Amino acid sequence: MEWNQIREEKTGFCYYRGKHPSGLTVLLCPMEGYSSSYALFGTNLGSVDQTFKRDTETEYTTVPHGVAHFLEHKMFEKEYGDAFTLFARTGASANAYTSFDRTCYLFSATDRLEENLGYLLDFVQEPYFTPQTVEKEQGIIGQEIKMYDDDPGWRVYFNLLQALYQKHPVRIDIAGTVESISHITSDLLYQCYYNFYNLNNMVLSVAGNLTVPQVEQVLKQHIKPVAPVTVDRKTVEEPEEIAAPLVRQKLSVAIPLFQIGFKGRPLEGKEELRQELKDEILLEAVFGETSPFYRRLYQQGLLNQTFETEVFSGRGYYALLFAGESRRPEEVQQQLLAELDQYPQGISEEAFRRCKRLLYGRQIQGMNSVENTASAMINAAFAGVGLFDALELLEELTLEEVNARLPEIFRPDRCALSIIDPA
Amino acid sequence: MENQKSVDLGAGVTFHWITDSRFKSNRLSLHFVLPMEEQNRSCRAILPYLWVKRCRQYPDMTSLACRLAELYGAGLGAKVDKLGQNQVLSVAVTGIDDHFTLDGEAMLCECAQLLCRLVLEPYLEDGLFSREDLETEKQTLSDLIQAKINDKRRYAILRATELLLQEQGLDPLGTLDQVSALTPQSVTEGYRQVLERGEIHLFFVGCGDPSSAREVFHQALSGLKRTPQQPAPLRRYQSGENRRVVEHMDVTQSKLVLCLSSGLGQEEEPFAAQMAAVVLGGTPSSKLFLNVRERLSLCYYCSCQLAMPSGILLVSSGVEPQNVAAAHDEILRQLSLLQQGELTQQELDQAKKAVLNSYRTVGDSLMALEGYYMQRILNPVIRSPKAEAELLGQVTEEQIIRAAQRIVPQLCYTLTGPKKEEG
Repeated sequence: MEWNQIREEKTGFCYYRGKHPSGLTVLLCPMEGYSSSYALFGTNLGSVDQTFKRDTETEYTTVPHGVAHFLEHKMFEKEYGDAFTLFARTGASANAYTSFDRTCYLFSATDRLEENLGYLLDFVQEPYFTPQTVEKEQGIIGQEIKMYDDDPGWRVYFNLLQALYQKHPVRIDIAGTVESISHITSDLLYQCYYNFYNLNNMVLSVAGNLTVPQVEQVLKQHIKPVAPVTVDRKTVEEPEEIAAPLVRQKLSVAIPLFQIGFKGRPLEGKEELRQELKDEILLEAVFGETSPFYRRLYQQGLLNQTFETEVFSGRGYYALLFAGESRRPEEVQQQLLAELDQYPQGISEEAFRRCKRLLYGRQIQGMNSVENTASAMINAAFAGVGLFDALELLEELTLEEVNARLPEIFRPDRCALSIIDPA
Repeated sequence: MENQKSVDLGAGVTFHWITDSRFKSNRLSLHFVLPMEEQNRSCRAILPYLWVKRCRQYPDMTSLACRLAELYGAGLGAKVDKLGQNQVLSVAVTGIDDHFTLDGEAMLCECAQLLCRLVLEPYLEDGLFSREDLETEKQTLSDLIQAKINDKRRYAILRATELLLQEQGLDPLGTLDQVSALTPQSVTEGYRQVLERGEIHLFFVGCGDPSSAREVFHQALSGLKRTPQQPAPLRRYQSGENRRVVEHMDVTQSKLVLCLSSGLGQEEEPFAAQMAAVVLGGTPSSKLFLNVRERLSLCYYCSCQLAMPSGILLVSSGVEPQNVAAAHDEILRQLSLLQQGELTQQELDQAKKAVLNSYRTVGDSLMALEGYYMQRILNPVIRSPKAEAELLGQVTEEQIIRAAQRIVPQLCYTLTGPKKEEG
């Protein structure tokens, strides 16, 4: 296997990228002196992948909401029992998650890396679904969905996504609904599995206590080559307009929770990353802790320390999100929109330079952690960029392009508010 | 990784350091440890939140935030916690190391100086904390007290512990009434007391040179007149009668929390009890997970941990309302099986490996290392994660079973949906 070493000059940080003959993309970051290693094995199947077909098929298939997450749960169940028991042998801690646009299986271990990596690769390459186990899982996931129904932080988020998006499946809960998962069958799980869990669509990312030959040896023994599959996802024609400007719900919370979102246009690869960096600078300079806006609202008691901002992006969706607790969420939104009038010429050179330094520092700090590094590598790979591209692009960014972005993304008619009021 | 080292700087001030060249950042923190005084909880708890807002040198929150951004997005955090019957007030700064700056700044010294200024040179008006700051931070503190209700899983554990421990279970943040009664005078007096009487622990964790931070701290603190108070000794919970409490809230999924006494004596090492908690419900291969969740599908989660220093075992579970009784009985049945000696070699091995794995991971994170040592700061013997893991690894099957036999249920707490109207 050929490895491409990718190095960041300032930090001396480096990682290796390789393409296994099976088509699997492998990213490795040996971190000297660390006790633990963290591995992620993922595919680009997420909750938004609802309608798709193989390139050899003519008809699209539409699957019930929540299939990707259901599949993730079922991957742990095997004929011999639970895949968690494999990792229990070595003391590794294993888990998995499903997001809007990917599913990842992972472990954190401080011992016997080869054995753990073998388990991870094996269990994700061996599907085992039966009608009985699917039925049992419907009960367990039904409980998980109900648990999230009580979670104000989760509800305020999904209510906002429903307000921002009219058609895109990003507006639906990742786990689906009790009703939608009742339509899932073992045949359907196999169909999704063989379409998306194809090594050509998958990435393995490992960071920490490891060597490249060590991982290469495991790949030799555990990768089961399959014929490549190309999946065509049906594009959802999402209008640029939002679905509703306001959505509210009552739950047991002490202080109202809110989320505000600005809907934007998704891009791909480096263009997308560049857009994200520009928006992160704007979020920081105009609304972050260094901004007059933050100080004013904090002093007025309209915001507290829970206030945070986020660039929310993935396959087919892009938005800027603001979240927090406030007794007067509508006023937060009004002041947020009014604040944009304070920047007719955009942000200052000084603010721009300061925010760039801040983003640079955050990138470096992220490299302290084995988990962050492995996650950042796989996120970058699924986004079609490299781990250090953000540092490079950050260096290149100009004040002019950042300021040109300001009126483009913060449009009042593309803004929605979600509130959870105390019951 | 080097082991933690400590030096007594006199007058109740201890400097602790762990140097590790793997990291790219340094974390500096300052902790005041004081015996919890019921009436003075809030006037002390508000201090860390006031400290991180501004100081004499950076007299408004924006200038402080800009300074942090200039320091490559150095992170500043305030926290109030409890350690047994003590209140712990903490402030921490984390920044990238000098080595990674773009312009060769002395980051470590700058961060240490900033930390000292925030705590020792606060922003005062006529010798008092400003009324304006106080009003906003009173809101922060009230919001923190009230927000506990948002996460129902955590809330149920906190509520059960509070009901069980009563005066020992006091919230270190104080009460809403205490917060609303705070005045610039009472808070300034609280500040004076904390500076004079609190035991001070300074931590350095990172790749830089600890002596430069130590020098900054030493100089800054040497001018203080101090008569430090001994922290309250750590006390183990002594068992009482078994109780049942049901509370109602607007939730779909009920939360069941069982508090059990471990019977640990005051000076007794907790390792066998800790391993008993792990085999019972500490991992996905534990008795509670495999039986209550997986085999019987009675809940979405079911786990157990030994809370220190109280020595209480907390079993926490998310259950459908109709399954509460069955889940409760099955949890106690699993405990009883362990007490009767039902513990396989495989269960024991897996529990030990999981524990070793989590202990080894501690050393890979700045925050985890600081948290590990801070939690043990009042223990008669402070061992490294490695040494503690070795002792846990030596616990035998017989010792675990004997520890389990001393476990006695104390409180069964259920948080469930609204009461149904009769008739």
